[in-house]
Amino acid sequence: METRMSRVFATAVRQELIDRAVAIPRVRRRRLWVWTGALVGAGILAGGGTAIAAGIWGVPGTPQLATLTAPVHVSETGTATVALGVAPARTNNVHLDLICLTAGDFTFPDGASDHCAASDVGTRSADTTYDMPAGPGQTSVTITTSPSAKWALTAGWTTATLTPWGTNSHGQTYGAQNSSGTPDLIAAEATNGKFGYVVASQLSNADGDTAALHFMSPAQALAWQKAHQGETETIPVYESDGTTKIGVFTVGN
Amino acid sequence: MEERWNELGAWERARQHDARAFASIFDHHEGRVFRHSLHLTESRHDAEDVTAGSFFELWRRREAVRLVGGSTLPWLLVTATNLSRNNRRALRRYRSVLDRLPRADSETGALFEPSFEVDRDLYSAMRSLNSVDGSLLILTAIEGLSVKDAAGVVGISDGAGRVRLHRAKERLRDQLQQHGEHIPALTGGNK
Repeated sequence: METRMSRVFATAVRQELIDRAVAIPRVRRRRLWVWTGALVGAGILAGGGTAIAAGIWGVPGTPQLATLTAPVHVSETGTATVALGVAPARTNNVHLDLICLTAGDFTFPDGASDHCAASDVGTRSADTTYDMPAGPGQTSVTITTSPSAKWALTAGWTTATLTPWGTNSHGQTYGAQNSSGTPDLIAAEATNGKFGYVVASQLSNADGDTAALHFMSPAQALAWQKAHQGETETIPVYESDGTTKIGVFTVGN
Repeated sequence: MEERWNELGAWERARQHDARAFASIFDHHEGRVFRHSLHLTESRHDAEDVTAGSFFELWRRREAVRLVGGSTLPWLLVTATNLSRNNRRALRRYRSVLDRLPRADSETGALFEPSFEVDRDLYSAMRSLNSVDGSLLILTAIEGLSVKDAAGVVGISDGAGRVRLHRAKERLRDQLQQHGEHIPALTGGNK
């Protein structure tokens, strides 16, 4: 019996491991919405991996994008600067949709980076939507990549306006965490895929934020982390009324 | 003279996203993990999946991996054991990648290892044990780990490891005696 893996398969596995090891996932692909710094890692919606870019736009408290110019479409190899033209007045945002056509590293103008593994190419994971504040006098964006990495970009000037949170019949605010703070009911995706809201206080209790208020030293914080490592807690996900349960959200420590 | 490979150093570098270091760990252990998986699965194809899955898990769970004697091998072998127990479900996370990777129907240059046949009886006996007991047995009887180290890799205490290993060996000895078989590794005490 041959007691060795097929060399073809072993070589492919090895390459896949290399792809995984070099990936430094600073951008959460397809789950990211970043805008004007104040919204970076917009809490549960973006940082918690609970919302999908395509699904968050109707949620109160998320930015509404208005396209101001026809988007530019380009395909490039390696690092390249893409001209967007002069930004119209009222522009405050650059909307970028980057698709990796080969494996490689891709860095956006503000330094956020993304890695595409060979397994991502040709799948939905190859697509990263990214929004950045428009700089004064900006006319282009530069995407820095690993050598010979191929990519396609759709980019255009937009305005982004933060929609207000909703208020339900119980007087609770609901929507996405944003630069205004945290609503009573925070938008989240349940484990069953449905979009709804978790109660902010329940989330704080589950993820350690409440406990963190009482930490007097880093040692206490570390001890709490250690004590709760590996634990997951499940909290309900409701409709915007805060009472109709539609699923659950799990919080891992 | 070839410089001796330092796995502990390679592992630390790999965790810092040094791809070459991570690849070197694969290069050193893929053969052993594959042979282990081959004993535990029904086909070469499944054994390759389990082997690949074990290394993918090594990366995914890198912050939780416990090294023994500066090596990831014991952890890889336990992971392969667990993956092989429920091949389809356990590997679901990696199914799309595994299905995409190229396979070879047959290749020349087969490598035969004398120990393969010797270990086969022990592995065959091990299949009747649960995952933890089976891993303890393999790590101590074939990999030569102390019970304490083996217990640490499977996540139980030293004392629990001794008790479980003792009972597992007894159970296997009883089974094998009924068939008139004898496996040297099942005799003797627990270190």
